[in-house]
Amino acid sequence: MNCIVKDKAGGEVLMDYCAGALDPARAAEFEGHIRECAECRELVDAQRSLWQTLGEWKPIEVSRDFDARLYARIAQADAEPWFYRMWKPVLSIAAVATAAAVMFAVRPAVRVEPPAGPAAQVEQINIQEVQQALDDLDLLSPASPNTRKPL
Amino acid sequence: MEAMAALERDAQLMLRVREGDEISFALLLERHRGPVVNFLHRMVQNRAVSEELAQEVFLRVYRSRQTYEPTAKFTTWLFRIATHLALNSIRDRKKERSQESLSDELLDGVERQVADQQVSVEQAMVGDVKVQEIRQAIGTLPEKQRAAVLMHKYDGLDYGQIACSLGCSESAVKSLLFRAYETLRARLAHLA
Amino acid sequence: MSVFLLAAGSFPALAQDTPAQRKAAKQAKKWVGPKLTPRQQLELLMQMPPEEREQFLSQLPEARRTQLENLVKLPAEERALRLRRLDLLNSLTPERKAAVTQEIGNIKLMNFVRRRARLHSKEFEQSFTPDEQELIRDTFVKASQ
Repeated sequence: MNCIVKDKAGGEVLMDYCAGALDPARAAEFEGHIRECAECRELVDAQRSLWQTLGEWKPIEVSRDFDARLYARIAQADAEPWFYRMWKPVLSIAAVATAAAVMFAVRPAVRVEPPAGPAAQVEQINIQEVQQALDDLDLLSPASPNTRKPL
Repeated sequence: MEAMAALERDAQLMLRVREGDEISFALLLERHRGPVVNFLHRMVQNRAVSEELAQEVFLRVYRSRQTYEPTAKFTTWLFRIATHLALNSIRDRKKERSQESLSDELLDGVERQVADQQVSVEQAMVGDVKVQEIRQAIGTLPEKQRAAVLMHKYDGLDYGQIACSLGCSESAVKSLLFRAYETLRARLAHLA
Repeated sequence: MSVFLLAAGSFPALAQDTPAQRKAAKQAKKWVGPKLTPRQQLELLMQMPPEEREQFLSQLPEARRTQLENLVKLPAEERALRLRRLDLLNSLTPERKAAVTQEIGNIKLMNFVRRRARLHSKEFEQSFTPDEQELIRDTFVKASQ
């Protein structure tokens, strides 16, 4: 095997070897080479320790409400209003079938409304919480870098 | 059925999502939520931004379910979306910051010099200096090099997948990675 | 999304109900709750037709209406980011939320040099978790750099 510092494909061999992605035969051949070549050995040591160092940046925990927020966004994006879906578990298959039959029979005249209308949504809005949320948002909005009020 | 069996697990799940099975979507989310959020977090280095971007990634996956074709590995497709969003976000934020600094650089120049000295002393006292240095070293890499290193080191993507995510050739990826690791070896040598 | 909420037996994918699938299904259902978060309430308000929103907002002082209208006017990405930060703030315990809001209020009163020193101080690092620190630093982008 050629020196990785001189070989055009040396970079790939170095990265794959230190990432444990080099096939065993080539890895063995490469190990044979680095035992003889101080320059390559030095490079391998540096890359190995970099690989290890980078591993110390541990992953963060995803927020617990990540899925909830995503499903809420998906529900918003879907044509069907989300509050309609909230009521679906309570609908039996028979009720769905009956509703479908009614819908089919009076299709041109009747538009099937979700069980809970916009009024039900509005009822879930708490005016105090909205005011608090607006205050919190104000507080969290980026401060001007040039604000120079005295302490 | 045979063709289905030959497909990778994620692609099978995505095909089920295409057919309306949303439990499969929940399974895909369960498998990839962490890696996507973390890739984005390491790219943009901000939790709120990374989670918003990750939401957008999965929203796009869900929206594309009807047109999904398993032509590439699912992970590659996912990281392609994530990379695209991350690069755009970094560019937007950079633009915003450069506009901000134009307005306040003259005013704050002297104050900042003083503050920088304080910062370096205080930062040295921070518990996790090592991770801070890693974050900083990766954060100062050019964007494409940064994305390539993150996908290679932390997400185990191969050169082909990284190339597909970044929209460049495999040889370009190898060269990006080699240069990035070279820079990182020099910047982080003292931590070894 | 209706699949999550319908009888599992009617879907072939659920026929072989593995623990992973059950867990995923359970997680998918988590978002359905009777109480809306402050963020969801604001989003609901923003999605209302203008006249309906106006009707609701008539209960609020003028300044509040302006606050909400300003939020509506923000570019979608920026708005989502602000609402995300609101979520993060509201995910804290009441005590931690109070500590964070008080800290932001205090820093807002400082000039640039003091802000910067405070945001990079050991005391700051010790008083707040990394997530709380990020939430506070995001409010003072320039001073945090």
